[in-house]
Parts: sequence; C-alpha cells; structure tokens
Amino acid sequence: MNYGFYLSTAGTITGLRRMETVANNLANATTVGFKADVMSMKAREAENVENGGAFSDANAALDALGGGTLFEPTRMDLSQGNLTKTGNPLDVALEGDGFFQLQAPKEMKGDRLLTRAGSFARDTQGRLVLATSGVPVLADDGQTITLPDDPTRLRIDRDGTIFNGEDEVARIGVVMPDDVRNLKKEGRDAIRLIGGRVKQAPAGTAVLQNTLEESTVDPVLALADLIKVSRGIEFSTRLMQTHDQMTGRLIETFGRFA
Amino acid sequence: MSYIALNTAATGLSALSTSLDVTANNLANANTTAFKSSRVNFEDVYYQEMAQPGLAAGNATQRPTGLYVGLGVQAAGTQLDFTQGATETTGNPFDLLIEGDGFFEVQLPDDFAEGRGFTRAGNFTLNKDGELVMASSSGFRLRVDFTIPPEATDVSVGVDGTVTAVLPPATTPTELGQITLTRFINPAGLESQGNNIYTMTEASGDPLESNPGEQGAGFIRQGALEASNVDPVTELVSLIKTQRVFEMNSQVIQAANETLRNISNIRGY
Repeated sequence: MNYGFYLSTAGTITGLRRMETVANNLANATTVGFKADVMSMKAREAENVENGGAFSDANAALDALGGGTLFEPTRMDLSQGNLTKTGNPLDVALEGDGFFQLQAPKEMKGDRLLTRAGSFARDTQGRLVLATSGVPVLADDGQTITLPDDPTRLRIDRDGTIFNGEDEVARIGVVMPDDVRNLKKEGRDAIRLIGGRVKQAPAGTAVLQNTLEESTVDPVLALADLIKVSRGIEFSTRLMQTHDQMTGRLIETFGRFA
Repeated sequence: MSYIALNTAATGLSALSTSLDVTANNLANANTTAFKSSRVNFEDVYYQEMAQPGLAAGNATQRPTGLYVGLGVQAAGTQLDFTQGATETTGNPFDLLIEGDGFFEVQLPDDFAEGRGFTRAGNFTLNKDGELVMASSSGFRLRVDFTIPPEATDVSVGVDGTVTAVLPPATTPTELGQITLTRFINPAGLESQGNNIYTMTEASGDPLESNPGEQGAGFIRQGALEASNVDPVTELVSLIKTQRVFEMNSQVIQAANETLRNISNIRGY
C-alpha cells in the first residue's frame, strides 16, 4: 500500500483519541475540582531522521517525508477553576496552586493520591472524607482527620486549620507535586502522583471554607475543539478514500497488460 | 474508537439529567416548610490507559507519563444542605421553629424505620386525643409523653422545650411536659422519606436526644416556622448550567456519530 495511506490512518486514529478526550472534558464540565485534560500531538520525524540517519541532498524528497503524527502524553490544565459559595461548612476550595491529599491504598506503595475536589463530608466514624467516593482526606502530618462529635462551630482557616469553636482539631494537608508531569488521573476525583515526591504548597495558596472550585473545562473551547477534531477526522478519512481510489486505478491501468 | 466518545457523552447526559431531577424537586419545594435542598455530587469515572508511562515514544525518548483517556462522569450521590431556612412568624401557638441544630422526633408506623421519624417542620396541630401531630397530610404524632387537655388555655412552649398551660379553674400556668430535640453526627447521611420526614441510616449515626439548648441542640421558638432553605436564584443558575452542558454533551454524541459514519464510509464511494 502506498505510504500516504498510513499517514492518513494515523491522522484518523489520533483524531478519534482527541474526540474522546473532548467528550470526557465536556461530560465533566460541572464536576467539582475537575481539571480539563489536554491532548497534544506532535509531528513524527522523517523516517530517515528517526532511524538515526542524517539529511542528504540526494534523497531530499524522501528524507523530508513526514511520518504522520504522534501523541504526546496527556496533560492536565491545572489553571484555577471558578469559585462558588455554598452553604455547607465542609465544602472547601483551594485558591492557588496545590492539592489536598487522600488516603492511598497500600498497593500504591510510595505513590500519593491528590485531589482538588473539596466537597468533603463526615463519615460514620467521624472522619473527614470526600463526599463523592468516601476516601479519607489527610492532615498535614499524613494522618486521617477525625472531626469532633459535637461540631457546634466548625471553622476552617485560610491555612487549612480546622477549629471547633476555639479548639484546634487538625490542619488539612495541602501539597504541591515536585513535577506535575508525574500526575495521572485515577478517576473518582483522585489524581495519582507517581513517585509521590511533593514540596510545600506555595505560601499564597489559600483554603476557603463554604466554597467549591468549579471544573476548569471551558465549554466554548471544548466545542471549538470538537468541530476541529471531527472535521480533521473527515479530512483524514477522505484522504484514505483518495489513496484507495488511486490504488484501484493503478491496478486497473496496469493490470490490463497481464 | 469513537464508541468511547459516544459512551462518555452518554454518561454526561445521564448524570446531568439526575442533576435536573434534583433541581426540579428543590424548586418545587421552594415553599415547603423546613424543606432542605439537596445537590448532586459529580465525580469523574475511570481513565483508560492507552500507553503506559516509560514507553518509548518514537524519537528514542520515553514518556514520563502515559496517554490516558477518561471515560466520563457519574453522579456519586446527593447531599442534603442543612443550613437554617428563613424564619416566618405565624403567631399560631403550635407552630414551633428549631433555631439551630436538631429535629423533632415523630412516631412512624412501627414496621417502618423502627417507627422513628425525624422532622424540622414544626407546623403541629392537635388531634382529638389532645396529642400534637404534624399538620401535613401524614399527621404523624410528635413523640412526647404528655397530652394537652381540652380545657387548657394559653399553651406556651419555652425556648428550652418546656410546655406549660393554664388549666381552669387554676389561674396560674401548670407544666405539662417537655419537648426534646434529636441531633445526628452526620445529618447529611439521613434518608429523605418525603412528607418532611427523615429517617436514620448507617451513615447518619445514632440519634442523640437532648433538651433544646443543651449539647449543641438548637432552641425552640413558638409561633414561628422555618421556611424552605431553597435559594431560587442558585437553583435557576444551576438549571441553566445543567441544561447548556446537557446540550453540549448531545453535540458530542452527534459529532461522534458523524465520525463513525465517515469511518464506515471509507470504502463506500
């Protein structure tokens, strides 16, 4: 089959993946603390360059043949989401960089589980947990947080310290990954930090009580992406048809001599 | 395949329609005494790994992280918002408002939730036996160990829940009994049963009974009612947002459908 056919195929496949990512972003346009996924592509190097060869004048045309397209790893758009006020004292949002920490299962070894979804609740054992999946939230010392039985006046400071009246209960841990490229989404509001190396969250990061961070998905951009991606796939499939027709004509024309 | 995109958008539509249902119920109850609004909590579902971290990425480089594609959203659960509603003064002696935490306990049929129901709707009335009952269609009886005699006048309920009345021929008030309040460690874990009634669950914890004003329970105000805590503005904003995001997700279904048609027509000229 001619070379170009596979280039168009690669274009179609990458287009499909991008469409899936747009679909997931839009489905999570109202998910608290959700960070939009960004899928990026790069041009594949010419066959010759990829194999370690150098450009030569004699084969300039062939060397310059691009190898289609490749995926880059999925990244997250970590920009700040909009903040909305709520009536629930256990709704907290982060303003600025950083993540809350969740209790990670033992199988994860050194990896950490992080989240930006601050819709917390209290479970039957009195622990502070994610309202959605029920996974315990960790304090700055890495322990789970037990709320008092009689939370008459629960107050959370900008530095994450939880007060019951005047008594300090615990401080919600806020950390910043050493390298955000090691973040990987796990689903159910959890983001896994491979390797688990963290540093102190920046001093400007504030924990806001009675507030939730909205999803960072921008519906306008997502819809524009959707149009771009679906047309891209259409172009690629048209080109595949053209290649097919050309090959067909080739067989028809030269086949008569046989 | 873009089958994934189709399914992903479908999870969006189904989660958003749950959100629409909850908003509709909140708005319908914007005038219900002591109604507590609820909200749907969304979470992203699983991510499908298309390429593992550390794999060669073509140009003799390695991927630090993998390529993953998310599979959509789900409604993780609904959460009740127990913030205090506005106070409506009525002047009716059997209208009781809880100012602060706590619930009145009412007697449900014995075979249902151990017969224990909890409500914040304090619009009570008297039945023919002199018992305080809910003025709603259900008419469940308030769980107290006293009745109000037919001849009683000037029935008054103190902030601490003591009920007194003047019983002729006496001219000074006599104490009839005590109304208690019940608190829960995690009220958001209560189950809504309709009729303004909540029942306890594993998640809410055990009922903690105390006199009003003690151990974190609120006070009682006679002659007032708690209004619904539904904020119509918030609900309408949420309605608009839900509807628009719903539309966008159905756009994804159309785009995925068109793409599938293009692909299946590659050979169809």
